[in-house]
Amino acid sequence: MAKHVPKRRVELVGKGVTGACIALVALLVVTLVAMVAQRGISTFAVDGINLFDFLTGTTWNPHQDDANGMPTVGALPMIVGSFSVTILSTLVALPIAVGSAIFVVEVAPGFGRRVFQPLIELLVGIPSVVYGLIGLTVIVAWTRDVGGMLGQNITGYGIFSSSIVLAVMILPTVTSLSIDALAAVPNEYREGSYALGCTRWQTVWNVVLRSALPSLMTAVILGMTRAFGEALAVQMVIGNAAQIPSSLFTPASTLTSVLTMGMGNEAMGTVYNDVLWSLALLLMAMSLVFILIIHLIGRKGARKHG
Amino acid sequence: MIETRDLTVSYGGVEALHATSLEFQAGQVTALIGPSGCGKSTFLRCLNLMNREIPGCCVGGSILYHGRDVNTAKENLFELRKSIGMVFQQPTPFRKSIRENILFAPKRHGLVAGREQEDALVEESLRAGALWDEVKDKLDKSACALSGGQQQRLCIARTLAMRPDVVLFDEPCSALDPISTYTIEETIRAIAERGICAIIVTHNMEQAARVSDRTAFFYLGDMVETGDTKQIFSAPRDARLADYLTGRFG
Repeated sequence: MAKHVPKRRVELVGKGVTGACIALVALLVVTLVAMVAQRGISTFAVDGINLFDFLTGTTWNPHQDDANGMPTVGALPMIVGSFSVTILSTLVALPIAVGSAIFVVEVAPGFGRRVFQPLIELLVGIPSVVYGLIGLTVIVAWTRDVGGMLGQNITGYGIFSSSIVLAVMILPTVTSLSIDALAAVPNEYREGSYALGCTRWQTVWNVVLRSALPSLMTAVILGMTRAFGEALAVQMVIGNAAQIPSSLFTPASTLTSVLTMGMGNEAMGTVYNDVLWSLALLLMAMSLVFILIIHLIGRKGARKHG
Repeated sequence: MIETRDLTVSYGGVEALHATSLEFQAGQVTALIGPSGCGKSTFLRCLNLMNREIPGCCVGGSILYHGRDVNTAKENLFELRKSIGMVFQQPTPFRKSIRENILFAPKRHGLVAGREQEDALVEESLRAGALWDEVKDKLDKSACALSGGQQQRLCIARTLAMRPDVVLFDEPCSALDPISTYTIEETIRAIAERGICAIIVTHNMEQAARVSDRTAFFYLGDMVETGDTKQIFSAPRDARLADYLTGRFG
């Protein structure tokens, strides 16, 4: 049957089908970005809220007008919250991830590849609400108890608990990518170092980690992107108080947590709703920046290799 | 200088190299030739105990280095490899500057102290590796920006910076163009003239003939014949060697 269809037509059909797929994806991306941007920008363009006030204002109270008759929508508390949980969780997860990657690739490749890596990849699939639930019942409770023992009256909600939960959440991603990064270092590099009389740890530290640095950076930034964009688990343990956090243990909020809390309650077209879109735009812009950094690192790495 | 007695290598119980006894002299270049999979690289990698890094690899027999058997469990490989250098098929510069590539091992082993000594060692090693004139103005540039041939000469210079008395070359030119190959062969000759014992594995017979004083021919895990390079190439005794030289196999 197929024999009778002219080859040229088969080729055209193939081109058409795959082309339609890519057009659909491209359209999706463009409309998504356009919609978020249009809504997010209308806060400033239509509702007349000052962009500078939005980015630096420390009070978030959209139902109350400020002195100028504008809703009080300072997003700085959420921006600070988002960045602190992202950076702290990365700082917690990174050493553990790289440490276990070194173990898997350099110390016990057999066991690591057969047992540890599948285990880690299993963790990637656990839904974030489960992490949030565990964080709520374990981390928040422990933080409160330990705080109580030290004579501090804290709720347990806040940046600290969120960072721990997020660190556990991004750990599998960062570990898995770090394993790939270390495994991709050509064996010749290690042998080159061994041949100079270097020990295994000198080799790992000076040669393997050094060569894998760009890929490790990519792993870290992907982890950060995930931490930055995570909503549900964070919302469950951060306490959701839209204020600049005074310590790691006071309730705070992130861009994502405010979005999930508020989005369902507001009618389309209200100022509050537009402001939430602005938060979404901010989130998306940050993710784009993260991805841009990954690309830059990748290109720099490629240039060095070539 | 370095000598093997009944050296055998097996991977996971299969013997890849049968009992081989060979002797290498200081100031000479010895070439190990033979078709792919004949055990020549395996043999070479025994001499600085590099095969210890391969899981499941077992080295039997003895390796006498300055008359001392180093193929023992208590031998300090890291000490040994300071004086038995090795250059690989693929250039393996570290992702650091040219200068740091040279100083990498000497610094870690505490052989240099102070900027002056470092500078002197960098220049001496790069000169010995025939690279100094090309890179003297960009010592702080990344070694990865060098050409393949330059990278390989950097690896030789890096090895020489440890002042080894044996240098092992594992097909050092097979990834390089003819001009780089020529420079590296010159460098290997110069190294031997400094009294270093150079051993080179190559599948390129012309290269073996050009660069070496002595040659050993490996075939299917056996060291079949060894002797002066001139004799090996002009009057081979073993029929398999004669066939290999005339291109009947391999």
